[in-house]
Amino acid sequence: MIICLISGFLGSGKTTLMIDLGKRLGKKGKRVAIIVNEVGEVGVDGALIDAYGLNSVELTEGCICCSLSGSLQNTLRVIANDYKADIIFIEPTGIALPSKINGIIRTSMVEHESKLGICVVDAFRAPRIYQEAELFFRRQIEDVDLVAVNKMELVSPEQLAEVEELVGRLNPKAIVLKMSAKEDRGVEAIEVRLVDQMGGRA
Amino acid sequence: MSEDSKELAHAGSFGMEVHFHDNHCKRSSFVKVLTGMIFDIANQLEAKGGMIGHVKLIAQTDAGFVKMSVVDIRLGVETVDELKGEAGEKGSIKLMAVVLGLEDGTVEETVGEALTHLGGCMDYHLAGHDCDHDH
Repeated sequence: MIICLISGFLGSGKTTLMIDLGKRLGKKGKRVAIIVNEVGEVGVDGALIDAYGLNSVELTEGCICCSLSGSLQNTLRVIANDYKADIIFIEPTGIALPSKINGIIRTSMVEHESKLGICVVDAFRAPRIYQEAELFFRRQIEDVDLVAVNKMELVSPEQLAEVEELVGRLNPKAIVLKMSAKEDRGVEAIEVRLVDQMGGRA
Repeated sequence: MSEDSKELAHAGSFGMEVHFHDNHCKRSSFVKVLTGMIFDIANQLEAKGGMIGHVKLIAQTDAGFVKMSVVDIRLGVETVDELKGEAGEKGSIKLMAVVLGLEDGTVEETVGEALTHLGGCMDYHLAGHDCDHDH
């Protein structure tokens, strides 16, 4: 089993990407489980994920990186023990910090072969978010393995290059991929990476 | 965990679920009403000095679902329409708004005011109330 943490600021396209990846991996015969977390008491994303026929557990009324950390650990244990998933996607709120979630996964003692941390960045809003919520933008990018610069269809090549440069500066070790979850461009590269981490068993 | 990410982000949020019945609007009008409501919420939140994090809704009816999202008012409303045929007579709408720089109460008030958009299409009420409707 692998764990894939899909973080990123509010509205960056995490759920769209995760549904797309979940459907792709499901078609390949993988058992996919999803843990989705919303800031508020009503779960819109969980309803959407369920509407697409994917298996999800929704944690609401708090953030799994702080107030709901215990709930995340319990949910991970239940899914690992009872569902026998090949992959667990975790989608935290858009204001969660991946480093804290990584620590919670580590201390949950849930056995997993590997983990992939992805941060989804909205190419259109990145400059504004960096300006107005720098702490989150920076910390969400700093602690991941892969940055998916999403919504490439909304910006010019020059704007896209600027966002890539910013992301590369904030996390020089991360792989940076350009994509459009809405137009289904660039998602395959992430799917291939996940399948590789699952031992390449298609 | 000493940090609370919502406080750290100075974020205000509000989520609610509405149940509706006797929807008499055709699919196009139904989608138009929802579009108007969610855009109005986003617009008002910006006008009150907030920075939109995400305003999103999912309307689930007996004919499928519609998902809408606003992350920036310059981009308008993004819609995924998975209704089959007409809009459906009854269902639910889950709505969530997260905004930087505003308090929870301001977000709640703004969402509550925008609900009046629905009145042109349907009878609705907040989830959790006591009623004798079939839903």
